[in-house]
Amino acid sequence: MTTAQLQKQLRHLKPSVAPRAEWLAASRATLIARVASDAATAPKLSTANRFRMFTWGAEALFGSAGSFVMRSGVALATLALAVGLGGGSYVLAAVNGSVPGEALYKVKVAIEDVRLSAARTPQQRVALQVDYASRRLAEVSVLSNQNGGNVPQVAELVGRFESTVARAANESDSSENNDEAASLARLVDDRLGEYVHTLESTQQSGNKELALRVGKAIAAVNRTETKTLEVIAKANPEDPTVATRIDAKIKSTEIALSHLGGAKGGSADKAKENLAAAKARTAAGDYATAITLIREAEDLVLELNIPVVEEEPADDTIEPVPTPEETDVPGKVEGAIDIQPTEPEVQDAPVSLSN
Amino acid sequence: MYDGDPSAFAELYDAYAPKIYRFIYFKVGTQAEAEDLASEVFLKTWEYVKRRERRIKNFRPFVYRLAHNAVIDHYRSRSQQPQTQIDEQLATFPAEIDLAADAVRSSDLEIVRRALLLIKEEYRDIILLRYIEEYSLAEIAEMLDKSNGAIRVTAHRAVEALKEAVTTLEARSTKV
Repeated sequence: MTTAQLQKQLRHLKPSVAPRAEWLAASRATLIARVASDAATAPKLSTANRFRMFTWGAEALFGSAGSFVMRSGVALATLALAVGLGGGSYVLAAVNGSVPGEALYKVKVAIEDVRLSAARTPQQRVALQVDYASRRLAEVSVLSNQNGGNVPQVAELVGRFESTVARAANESDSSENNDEAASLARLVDDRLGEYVHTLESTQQSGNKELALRVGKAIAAVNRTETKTLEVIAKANPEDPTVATRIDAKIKSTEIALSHLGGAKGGSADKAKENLAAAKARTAAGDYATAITLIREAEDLVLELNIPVVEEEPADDTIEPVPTPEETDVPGKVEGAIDIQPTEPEVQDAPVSLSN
Repeated sequence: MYDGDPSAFAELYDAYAPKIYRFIYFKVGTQAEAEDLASEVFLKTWEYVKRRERRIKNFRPFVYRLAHNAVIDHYRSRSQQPQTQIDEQLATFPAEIDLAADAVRSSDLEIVRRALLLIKEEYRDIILLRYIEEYSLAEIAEMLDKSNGAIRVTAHRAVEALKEAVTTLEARSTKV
């Protein structure tokens, strides 16, 4: 084998070793939950460190010439705008880490809107939307860990998360080209597992009221999954993974149905019939009909869940969500952009490469 | 509030998790160990960031060094040196690989993957970073805290060592 052949083989090895999507999502959710938990209890991160984290992100973004060329258009425009709006790198970092209730959050959302409107293709738009949905969930994690969480504010964020995911899913649904629609649906579908993991972590750590709201968001994500699966199946009727995914959805809907108990009458029976029929259609290779039946069953399960949903407080009991300009937290924003004095360096470096 | 910018950290995770997983996988050889160690690396990274007195000037070399050390610690905790593990894996090589019988498997790639386990740790690191992750020599020098010249020489030796290992494994596979 020549050196060139060996190098070629090594390049081919790269795609053959990829982490499992399930592990990536679970590990990410665990990490974000940990970060959010620490965010709620530890003192404020210095602006210098926020900036450092931002620059690491930029390093990843512009890590190679190829990625620079591909992403420079939108990213550089965004960075330029951010610098213009913020007046400096430290503000950029503070903007990136801001959460609702902080004045800089308005800037963060404005930058997101600009990036979204600058997206030239449906792929770019969907990629941004699924990222923004992740950001909303990260913000949900932070806020829900602050003193038990500001429930109305977190609920508002969860709502924004849902609408962002719905817009991304609609983008794929409205494409007339089956292949493009499937490609967009996959962009959304790839992130749904991560969303559910993060929402479940929030659900476990939040109060009862919040848990109910998050439970609805999880149901919405599951329904989006059905929608994306339908688009993917339409474009790839021979894809064997579609049948596996449909089976999994049937099982998860059956479990959701079983959690409702046995005294639910005709709707539950109808949902069971739909799921049984969906199994038969899947076995026959008629995925489109199977997915339609599952979607109807999911709707019925959602209706049967209404008594639980009704436990949420009426709208008039929820205080209006404060907008950033209405939120008066003395010193909060100032603290976010102050350069805090550096504490003494720790003696021993925690990492060293021992060769 | 510890305004630790979770969304930025999540973006870092998204950018580096697949790379770190791959880097570790090629060193330990199993999916489960690679997943555990890669998760550990990111949690340790966060722990480090959280302690504000410690500074990371450059994230990429930091996280790769952490991954490298995590693998070493992993073997230490099991009182087992990497080479011992590798020898055990290679001992099962003829039984596990039946190149003639499995036409679907990419046998050449499998041989290269296993050959990576045969070469010195130092060589393996450079091969992974240079030819799989496709970092430049200067970037690798920064990650490994060595001079560009030293990395260039070691990279050349690493390729030669890997070629030799591949040849050895190919000879063994044809005897089966």
